[in-house]
Amino acid sequence: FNFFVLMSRQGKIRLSEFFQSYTESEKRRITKDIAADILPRAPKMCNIIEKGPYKFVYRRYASLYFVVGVPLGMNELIVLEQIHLFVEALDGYFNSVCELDLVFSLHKSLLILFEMFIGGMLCESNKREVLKAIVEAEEMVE
Amino acid sequence: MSTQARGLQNFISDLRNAKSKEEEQKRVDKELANIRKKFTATGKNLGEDGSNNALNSYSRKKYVWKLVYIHVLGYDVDFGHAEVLALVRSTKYSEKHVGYTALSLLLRGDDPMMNSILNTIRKDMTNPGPTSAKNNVPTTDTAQALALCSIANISGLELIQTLHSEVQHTLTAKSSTPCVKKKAALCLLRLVRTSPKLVTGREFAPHMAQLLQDKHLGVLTSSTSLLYGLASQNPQDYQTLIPYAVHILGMLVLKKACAREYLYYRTPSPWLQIKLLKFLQLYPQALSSGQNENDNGQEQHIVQLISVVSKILTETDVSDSINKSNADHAILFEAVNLIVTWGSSGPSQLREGAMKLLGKFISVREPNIRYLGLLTMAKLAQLEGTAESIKKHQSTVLVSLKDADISVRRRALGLLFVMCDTDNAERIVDELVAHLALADAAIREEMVLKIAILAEKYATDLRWYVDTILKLISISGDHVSDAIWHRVVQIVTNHPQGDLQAYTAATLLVGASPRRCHETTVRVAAYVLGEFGFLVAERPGMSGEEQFRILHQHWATSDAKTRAILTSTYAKLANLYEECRPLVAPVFARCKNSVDVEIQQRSAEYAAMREAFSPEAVEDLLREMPPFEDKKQSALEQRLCEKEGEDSAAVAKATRPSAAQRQRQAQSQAAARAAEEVAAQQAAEQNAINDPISPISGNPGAGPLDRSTVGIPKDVIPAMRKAFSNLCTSPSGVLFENSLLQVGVKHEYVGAQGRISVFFGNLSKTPLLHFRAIVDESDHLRIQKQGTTGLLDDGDDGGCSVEVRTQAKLLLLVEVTAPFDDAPAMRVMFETEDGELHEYPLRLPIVATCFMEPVTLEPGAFMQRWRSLEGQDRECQEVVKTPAGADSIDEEYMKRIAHIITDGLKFGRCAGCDPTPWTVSGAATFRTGSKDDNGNNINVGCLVRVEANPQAGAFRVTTRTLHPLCSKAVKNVALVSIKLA
Repeated sequence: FNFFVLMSRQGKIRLSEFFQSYTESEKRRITKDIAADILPRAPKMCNIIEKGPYKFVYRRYASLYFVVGVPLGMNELIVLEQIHLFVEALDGYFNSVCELDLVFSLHKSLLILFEMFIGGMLCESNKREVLKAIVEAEEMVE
Repeated sequence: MSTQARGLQNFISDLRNAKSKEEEQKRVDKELANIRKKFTATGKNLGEDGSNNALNSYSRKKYVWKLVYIHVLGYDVDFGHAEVLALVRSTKYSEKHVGYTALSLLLRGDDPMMNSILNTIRKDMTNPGPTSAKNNVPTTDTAQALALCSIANISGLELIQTLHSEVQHTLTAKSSTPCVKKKAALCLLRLVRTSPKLVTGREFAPHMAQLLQDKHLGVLTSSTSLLYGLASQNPQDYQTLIPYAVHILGMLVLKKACAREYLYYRTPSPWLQIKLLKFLQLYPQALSSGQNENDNGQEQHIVQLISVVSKILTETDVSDSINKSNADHAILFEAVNLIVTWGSSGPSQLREGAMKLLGKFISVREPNIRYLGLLTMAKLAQLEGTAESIKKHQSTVLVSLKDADISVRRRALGLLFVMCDTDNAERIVDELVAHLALADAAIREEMVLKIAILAEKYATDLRWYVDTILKLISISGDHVSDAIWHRVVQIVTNHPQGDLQAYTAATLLVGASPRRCHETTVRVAAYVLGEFGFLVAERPGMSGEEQFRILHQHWATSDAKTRAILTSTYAKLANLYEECRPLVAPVFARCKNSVDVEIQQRSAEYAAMREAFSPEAVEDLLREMPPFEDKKQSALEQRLCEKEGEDSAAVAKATRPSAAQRQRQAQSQAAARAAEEVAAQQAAEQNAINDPISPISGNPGAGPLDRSTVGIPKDVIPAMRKAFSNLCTSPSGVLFENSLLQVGVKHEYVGAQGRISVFFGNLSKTPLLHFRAIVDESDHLRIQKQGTTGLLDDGDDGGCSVEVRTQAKLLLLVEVTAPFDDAPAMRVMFETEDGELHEYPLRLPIVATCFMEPVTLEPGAFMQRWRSLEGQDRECQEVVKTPAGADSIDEEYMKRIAHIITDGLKFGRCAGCDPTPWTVSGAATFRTGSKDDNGNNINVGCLVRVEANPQAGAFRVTTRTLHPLCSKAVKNVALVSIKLA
C-alpha cells in the first residue's frame, strides 16, 4: 500500500496513514482526489480507480469508505479482500463495529492497523492472532 | 484506557459537534495552543531531552494521543516530539506503546530528533527483557515488535537505515518468536526498498530458504513478501528459491494443506498464494531453462507448477460469497499474469484456457472482474498468436467502452488500443471517434491521444489519417494537444507522394471555411496552406486570395500563437500571389505595433523583407519547409509513456511499428532516394548555372560554420553578387565590403596564366586578429600563393593580425589546366577584438573567360565553325530579360553589349556576321597550360552569339565551343554581364 484512508460519506477523514513520505500538500491532494473521485461513484461500479501513478482501491461499509492507494501492478482484488480482513478484525474487536467506535477509539483502530499492516504490507492474515496480540497488549497496560 | 482519556473523549466529541470546517479548525487550534502550553517546560521542570518533567504519565499520554488524533485528521502537528520520545524511553509498556505509535505517525525519518531516539530503539531491539510481563515492564518480543513496527512505519528512512543489521539479526535469530519474525521480515523489506544495497542476495538467500520452511503461515506470508521485494530488485540471486515457492504453492493449492485460521472464506491463505505467484512471475524463463538442463529436481517442480496453475484455471468458480469469489479470482488473475510472463514457452493449453476465461470475464456484470478481465486481456494480447482469438471479443469490448464506469471505460480503451491492427483499425478508430463525442472530459484526452496514434499507425491511406485527426479536432479540439497537430504537419510534409499534400490543403481549407471553427483547425490550416496551399490554388474557390480570406476571418478571434502562424502563412501567400500583397500589407502594418513580441517581429521582418533582400533570398526564406527528421519516438508516444509508465502494454504496442507504417517508411525512403537523386542532379545543374555568378553557393551562411561564427550578413549579398559579376569582366574592383572588412581584387591574365592580387583592408576601429584567407585547391587551376605572413596559415591560432586602416595582401599566380565552369572558393576568417568569430565564404572572380584570347574570324569561317559545332552538349543557350527599370534595347544598348563581349569576355568581334544591330557575334580561344601528346598547349575554340529582341526586352545568348564546360562557362559569364549592362 502507499496509503490508507478512511473517509466518511461526508468527506471527513476518520483515519489516515501514509506509508511513504508524502509532503503535507501531497497528502492534501490525495485526500481531495479521494473525495472527488470516489464519493460520487455509484454502488454498481467497480472498486478500482486509476489515478496517475497509483490506483485507489476502495470498499464501502455503510457510510464509511475504506480507501487504499496501491501502486500499479498490485493485485486489486486481493487488496479489496485485505480491506475486508481489516474490517473483520475491527468487527471482532469492537463487536460489530460502527463509525462511532472508530471515531472515539481511534487509538485502538490504529493499533489494529499497525498489527495487521507493517509499512503498508500485510503482516498477518489471521485475524485471531491479530486480536490476540491486541488483547495481550491491553492486558499489559492494565 | 477509556477512563484515562476522558479529555480525549471530550475533545473528539467537540470536534464531532463542530458544525463547519471553520469551527473544527478553531477547536483544533485551541487544543493545540493548550497542549503547547502544557508541554512548554520551565525552570527545573525542563528535562534533559526537552520534555516537561512536570507532566505525569497520564496527561503526557493523553496529550500525545490528542496530537495523534489531530494529525490523523489532517492537521499539521509540528511540536511535542520531545514528549513522544520521553514516552518511547519509558520502561512502562503502556507508555512505550503510546510513544511508538505516535512516533510512527508524527515523526519523519529526517527529523533531527530521530538521532536521540536511535539508541533507545536499538536497546529495545536487542536487550533481553523479562520473559513474562511483570509490573507493566514489556517483554523482549513485545518491545521488539513495537520497535520494528515503528521502524517500518516511519516514513523517510535515512536515519533508520543504521538499524538494519539489528533488524536482519532479529529476523534470522532462532530466539525470535514468530510474531517478531514476521514483523522483522516486513521491516527489513521496507528498509531494502529504500536502499537496495543493504542486503546482498548471495549472503541472504540461505536465510531466506530457512524462512520459507517456517511452519507458521504468518511468518511465511511476510517472508514471501520480503522474498518478492528482494527478488524483484535482483532476480538472479534468488532463482534457487523457486522450488521452495512451488512447493508451498503445491501444498496450498493441490493439497489444501493450511491451518484453519489461515483459510479465508475456505480459500487457503490467498495472500500467500498471490505473493508466491508474483515471485514466480519474475522468472519468465523458468520453464524453458528447466527443460534444457534436464535436471530431475527441476523437472519435478515444473510439472508441479504447471499442475498448480492449471488447477487454479479450471477450478475457480463464481461463488455466492463476494469475498470468496474475490479472493479466488485474485489468485486466478495472478495465475494468468504468470502465464502471460511465460509467453510462448508456457504450455499452449494454459494460454488457451486463460483466453477463454478472460473472454468470459469481460462480459460478466460484476464490474471488478470485468475491469480486471479487460486489463489482463490487454496484457495477454502482447503475446504472439493471440490476436485472432482476442479479435472475436471486439464487439464485447466496444460495449464496455460505453460503460457508466470510467475505470472500465479506460480499460476498454486500453484493450482496444492494444488489439488494434491493420485489419480492424478503421472500424475501431471510427468507433472510438464516434464515441468520443459522448465521452466525458476525464477520458477524452487519453482517447484523443490514442486515436491519433492508432490512426497514424494503421492508416493504409494517409488521407484517412488526416480526416480522422480533423474529426478529432472538430469533436474535441480542446483535448487535441499541439503534439498531435504537429504530427499531422510532419506526416503531410514527409509524404510528398500521391496527392496527400493537396488533399490535406483542400480539406483544411474547407474545414476552416466556417466562421466558427476550433482554433486548432485554424492553426493546422494556416500552416498547411502556407506550405501546400499552392497545390490547390488552381481549384475553384481555393485561389490564393480566397485562402487568405478564409484564414483571415479567424484573425480577430485567434490568440497570439495562432496569429504568429497566420503571419508566416500570409507572408508565404503574399510571396506567391501578387493579388494577396495588398491584402497582407495592412495586416503587417498593423501588427508592427502588436504587443506580442513574436508577432511584432515576424510582421516587421516580413514587411521589410521584400525591400531588403534580393528576390532570390526572399524566395529562399519563404521556401517550403524541408522534411522533418524521422524521430524514433514520436511526441505522441512520448506522451503516452509519460502517462502510462514505460512498461505498460499500450506503450509496448505503440513503439512497435505497424505493417502500414513500415510500408510507408519503405515508400518514403524509396521516394527520398529518388528525390535525392533528382535533387543531386538538379543541384549539379544548378551549381553549374549559378556558381560563377554567385559569390556564395546556395544558402547564405551554409557550409562548415558553427553557430558562434558570424557569416556573411544577408544584407550585403546582393551587393556582393553584383561586385563579383563586375569583377569577372573588369581587371580590378571591390569583391566584398562590410563595416569591418573590404576585399579588393586586381587581376590580369596572359594566355593560360594569371596574376591575381587580393587586398584585405581593415575598415573597423579595432585590429582584426587571426586573419586567415584560405583558397581552395581545384583540379583545373594550378595556384601559387604568396601573402602577408600568417595569412595563409590554416591553423586555429594561425593567421596574421590586420591593424586598423591597413591591408593584408595575397598574391596568387594561377595557370589553368583544363576547362572549368566555376570560380575558386576563398574562405576569409578572422576574430574581432571582442572575440566574435567571422567566416566569409567568398569566391574569387577567376572564371573561364579570364583565360580567353580574342580571335578575329572572317564571317564565312565563323559561320562554318558555328555550324560545325552545332550539337547537344557543345551548345548552350539561354534567354535573359533586361533588368526591370533598364532602358529599352536600342543601338546604344547594343554597343554596350558588344563592348562586354569584346572587352569583358575577351572575344574577338566578328562584325561581318552581324548584318543588323541586334546581334553580336564573337570568337575566342580558351588557352590552357596543359600540353597534348605533341607538346602543344591545349586550346579550346569558343564562339558566342547574342541576339536581341527589342520588343520583348530580352536577349538570347548562345555559345558553341569544343568543350561543354566551356560553353556553359562562357554563357554564364555572358548572361550576368548582360544583366549588368
